[in-house]
Amino acid sequence: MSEPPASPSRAFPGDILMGAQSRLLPYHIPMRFFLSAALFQVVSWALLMVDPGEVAGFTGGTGASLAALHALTLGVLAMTVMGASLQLLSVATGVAMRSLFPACLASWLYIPGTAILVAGMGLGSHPLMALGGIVVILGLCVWSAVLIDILRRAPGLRATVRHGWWALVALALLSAIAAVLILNLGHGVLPIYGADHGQLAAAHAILGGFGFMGLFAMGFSYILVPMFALSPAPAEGRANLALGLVLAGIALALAAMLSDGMEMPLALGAALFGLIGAGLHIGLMLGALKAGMKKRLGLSFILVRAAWALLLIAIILGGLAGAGEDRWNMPTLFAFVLTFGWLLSFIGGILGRVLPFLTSMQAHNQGQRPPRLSDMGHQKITLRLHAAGHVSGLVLVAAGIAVDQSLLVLAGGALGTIGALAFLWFTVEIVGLNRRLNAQAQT
Amino acid sequence: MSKRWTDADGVHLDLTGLEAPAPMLAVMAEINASDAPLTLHMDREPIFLYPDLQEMGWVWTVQGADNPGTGEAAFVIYLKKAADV
Repeated sequence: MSEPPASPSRAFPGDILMGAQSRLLPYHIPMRFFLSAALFQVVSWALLMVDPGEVAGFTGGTGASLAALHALTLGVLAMTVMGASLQLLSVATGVAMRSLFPACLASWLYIPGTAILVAGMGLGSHPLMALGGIVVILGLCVWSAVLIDILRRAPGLRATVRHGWWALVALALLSAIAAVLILNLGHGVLPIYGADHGQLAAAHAILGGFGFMGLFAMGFSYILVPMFALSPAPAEGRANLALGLVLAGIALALAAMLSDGMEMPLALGAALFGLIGAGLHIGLMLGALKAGMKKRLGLSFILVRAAWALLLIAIILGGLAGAGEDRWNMPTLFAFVLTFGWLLSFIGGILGRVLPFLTSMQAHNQGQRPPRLSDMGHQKITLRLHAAGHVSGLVLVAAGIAVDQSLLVLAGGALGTIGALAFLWFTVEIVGLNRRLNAQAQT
Repeated sequence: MSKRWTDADGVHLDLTGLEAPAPMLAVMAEINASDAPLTLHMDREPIFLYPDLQEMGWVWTVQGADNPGTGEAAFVIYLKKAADV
């Protein structure tokens, strides 16, 4: 047995440790995605207030509602998936990225591309939408190449890796459909093979909400929930079964969107498969929380639990909308609960814990001693304000859509914006702390 | 399956070959049971553990092997309760 090294903090014996450092990316790479996501979250809620009367009856077309939806899906949800996947997958799988440049390139393309695309949608400018769409797809291609390289070399975490592969398949399909939809808005190229704009837009929404982002959320949960709760990973076989059921639900939902005359049975079948698959996944997560050594996971996991409930509600609403139910503005209500409800609540809850955790890991990796997780920034104010604004905003906007009341949408948008601003404050404090700790390490 | 033994300098845990989160759980179970110094032998540096270790009042030093052989630990981490340092 060798004696511990004399260094009071940590040893740096050479290349092996540098290998570990390369798996933990420089803080500014994941943080640029998370900070952008926090900014776009403010934009997405605020855009709901621009034309609240249009939100309830939104069925497509350019304007503030389309811009709000994509500020959320591209600006917050996909943005967070990109930052989290680059950092967490390489650390959790132990696979070091071959080069940092592609990750930076993805951010240089994707972040401004999303801003241009959202602006184009809001202004109804086809050239801006086309430009933004091309740049966004290029950014996603670069990021996908990095991710494929990590997934291909990952030696373990098979359930998460499998979700990642399927999520990338969904991303490829939804990106192709998005390109056709943008082209159609400017040049009227649809219908193609009998599929019109509405049908393709619905397929795009299913692939984005349940496919790309939903599958990543499920896959990351198999790493993050056991890590935060300090519990064993859920059984891989059950995770695979949940994935298979959800994929079957997505396939049936796509068939329902594109079919002519079989919508109702296909949509109800999709909802049934989706409910069983999502229910199994949620059961695995609740089991991990119950078995965990850490029982008190704070406000963040209250949001995560609410998000799981909203996932089940979104599947039920989606089944009803797909079956032709149009009372309570069902298609719009479904889209809102799926995106602002399930996905945004989940990401808000998870980021509330991930950002301090990443900051602490970065500091320790540089030999710095960071503040305690709960002492980073003014979390007691910012995260509480965020949760209150987010939940009340969700309830009011959902009610406003269901009963077609623009005042409710306006009030909900305002509360959601306040919550999103609080989350931006939290993120800015975390990024500032990373900058200070990094500067101290350099000196 | 982790290997555990006691040496003159305290308890040792060999966590090589285990997939996440098993190493983290083994360490947490050990430090929840005892404040005795602990030496970890691992394939990868356990950076996911550091925030929790700090919260629980532990300090550590890390030693990396330059060229670990098959089955040998790439990292040895020496853990002590802060009051013991």
